[in-house]
Parts: sequence; C-alpha cells; structure tokens
Amino acid sequence: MNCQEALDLLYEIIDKEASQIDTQEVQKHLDCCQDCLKKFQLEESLQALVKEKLKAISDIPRIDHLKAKVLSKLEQIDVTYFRPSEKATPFRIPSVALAAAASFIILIGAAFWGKGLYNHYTDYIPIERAHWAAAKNVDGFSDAQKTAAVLAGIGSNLGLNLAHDFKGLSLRGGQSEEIKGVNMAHFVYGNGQETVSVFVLPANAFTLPEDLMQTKVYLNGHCYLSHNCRGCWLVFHEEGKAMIITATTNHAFGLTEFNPASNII
Amino acid sequence: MAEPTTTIGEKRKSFEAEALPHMNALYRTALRMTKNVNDAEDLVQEAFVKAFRFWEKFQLGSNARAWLFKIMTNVFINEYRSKSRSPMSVNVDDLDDNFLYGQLATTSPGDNPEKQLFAKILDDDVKKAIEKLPEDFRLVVVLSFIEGFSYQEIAEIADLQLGTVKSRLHRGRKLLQKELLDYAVKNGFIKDTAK
Repeated sequence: MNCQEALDLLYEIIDKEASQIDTQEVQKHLDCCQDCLKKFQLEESLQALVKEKLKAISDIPRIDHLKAKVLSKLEQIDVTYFRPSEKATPFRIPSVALAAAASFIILIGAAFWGKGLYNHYTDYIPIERAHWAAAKNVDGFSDAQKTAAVLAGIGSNLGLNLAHDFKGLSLRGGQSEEIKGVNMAHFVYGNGQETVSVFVLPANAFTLPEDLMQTKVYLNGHCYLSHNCRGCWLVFHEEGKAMIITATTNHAFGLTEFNPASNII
Repeated sequence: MAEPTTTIGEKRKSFEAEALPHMNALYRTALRMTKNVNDAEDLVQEAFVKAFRFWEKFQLGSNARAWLFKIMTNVFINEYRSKSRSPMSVNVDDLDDNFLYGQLATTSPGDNPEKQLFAKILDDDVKKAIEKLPEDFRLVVVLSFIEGFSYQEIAEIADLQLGTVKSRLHRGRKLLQKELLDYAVKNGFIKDTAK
C-alpha cells in the first residue's frame, strides 16, 4: 500500500468503518511511514478534540419541559388517532416508490402532510421520470441516427461538443424531448451498470429556483448546484450558453465530476 | 409490528418506553441543525408527534433511535430547511487532503504542532464552526460526530447513498478544519502562512 492509498482510507479508519483487511494494510503502511503516521495522528487528535468539544456543548441541562410538552401533545393525538382513513409512512420505502408516490400525493392535495413535502420536489419530477425511463430501457433509447442528429443540434445551437466516452461510461443514445415545456437534448451514458442522463438545454430557457442556491459548489472552475430528489440525484450547471443537468440514481457516482461537455466556442 | 387491536394505552406505554428516552439525543441534534432553542423544541415535538402516529409501523426490537432520527431529519428537511436558509456557496477546491497538516507543519514546527492549536480552541468556537457548515454537510457531521451513527445508519436516516454520506462527511470535515484554522489565525494562535 502506498501513501495515497493509505490516506484515501484515513477517515474510514478513524471512523472504524474500514474493512479488517484495509485496516491491517494501512497499519502496515503506518508502521513504516512516519509521514503518513503523523497525518493520521493529527486527524485522529483533531477528531477527538472536535468530538469532545461537541459533546460538551451538547449536554442539555433541562429538557423536562420539552418532555411535558410532547406528552401533552400525545394526549391530544390519542383521541383522534384511530381513524380508518389515517395513513402512515412505513420506515423503509424504496426511493423509486417514494418518487412515484410523491407526485401522486401532490395530485390529491397532500392534506395530511401539512405544509411540508418538498416544494421543489415537483419541479424536477419530469426530469427524473425521463431519466428513469431512459435508464430502464437503454436499448430502446439508443438510435445512432437520432443521437447523431441531436449531437449535431446542440453543437450548432449551443456550441457544445459532447464526449462519446467519459469517466468509463460511454454514450448509449440521445434524443430530443420536451420536458417542463423546454426542448431538451437528452443523452444517456452507461457502462452496463451505471447510467447517467445528461440533459442539455439553452440556459435562457431554464431558471433555477432560489432554494437550490444553497447547494452551490465550485469545482474545477465551474459552479454546480446539486439537488437530491430522493431517489434521483440532479446536478445543474451552466456551460456557456447551455444549461446542463445530469441525473443519476447512484449517489455514489460523483456527478460534479461528470461533465462530458466541452465548449467549442 | 404492533397488532391492530393494541389499545391506545398500550401504544402509549411502549412509545414512552422505547421512544421518549431518545429525546435528549434528538434535541441536541435539533439544536445544531436549527441553531436556536425555539425551532429545536418545535422540531423535536413535531418529530415525536409524527413518530407516535406512525408507531405501528415501527418494528419493535429494531433501532428506535435511528428511526426517530430519520423522522426528525425528514421533518427538518421538509419544514425547517427553507425557512432559515440563506444562499451560501462552498468552495472545496482549495481544501486538499493534506491541507491542515501542511498548515500546521509550516506554522508551528515541532513534535505536536496540533497541541498548541487545540489547547486554545474553545467549546464555543467548535459550535460556531459546526453551525457555519452548510446544512447538508452539517447533518452528516452531527450524526456521525455527536450521535456516533455509522455510515450506513446515516445513509438510511438522511436517505442518501453510502458514497454521498462518505463524501459529505469528508468535505464537512475539511470545511470544519478550515473554519477552526481560520479562527486560530484570526486570534493569533498560529501564524498565517497561507499568503
């Protein structure tokens, strides 16, 4: 194991989340590498310090009044609880079902959910749906002629080139779709396991809502906005005249690093 | 799962025995997330009310603490997040993995460069640094650091993929380190060599 490999596992080791084999390998490396050992020790002691300070500020002196408040609220619920129409959310719902259920609930009015339930959620459901549909049926999606035409289209309209292979994924197909009233070029990249949808559209045809701005991240000179739609991970960013939206259902996939577009203007 | 015939009294009893003992833990996380006592109390109350309504769905014997945190996290994301949100951008470009080490090594050479820095940092400084983290990062940092949840548990609580939990925890830590270091530089605990 070299230094980089050891450092990549640093936090997993500190958090005791690394596998036994990894832990042993890292230990072996640390036994003979002073530099890495120091880095590990520094991170470990910083972690310990932060945890200790956090614990200190997290000791809650009085919570009795809160307990009393909760108990009195429960009293009120007792009376009304056992109505046959009452619905409850189970602990684990697959995110696919949740995404589908969400649109349904919103349609019927969301009365029992009260004020919550992801206002911005509805905004991107069409994009999620398009991604799911394409990911589910990649073969049905790929049509060489269509793909070439769509590629040429964004090339001339928005001045963008799209790479055919990127991050180990290759372009499987592309077509034009009208989503949210905007004509988008929808491309799918895949490697047989992962699929990433790339939507390209004119930047001026698409406004990003305020609530996304909090998730702004700058990477490699680009500004990214990422948005988790529960089940679908969306990343928005502007590239010249184009807005690019990437979507994946595998959150482990680093979407901010997935930008197969290169500006040719 | 509780039988449908369970009386309200029995339901109350099992809820009070299984769920209420976790209130302290939920409250301290609520405090870090909402950053104020009133919102934290409201959040905890709402989470418990919701948990009670859904108590039949909870599998007795499974992890009540994680289940309650999941409910509270949902309530927080749905109802509290947008209220207090202010646009904030995070620049993680300049935070490479060795950044803290490099800083400390150059500012205070010696066997334990971190010792003199750490000795001067106060509880309150850490609190401020944590509260400055963007919510998405703060949530995973708090769940991991304060509550000691595993990556997998955090993934379920916050409805994230494991890889996202890891990367947010990683970035959260880097941002936290940067905050603490900036603070130390500002207060003259260590010299600023970054410029």
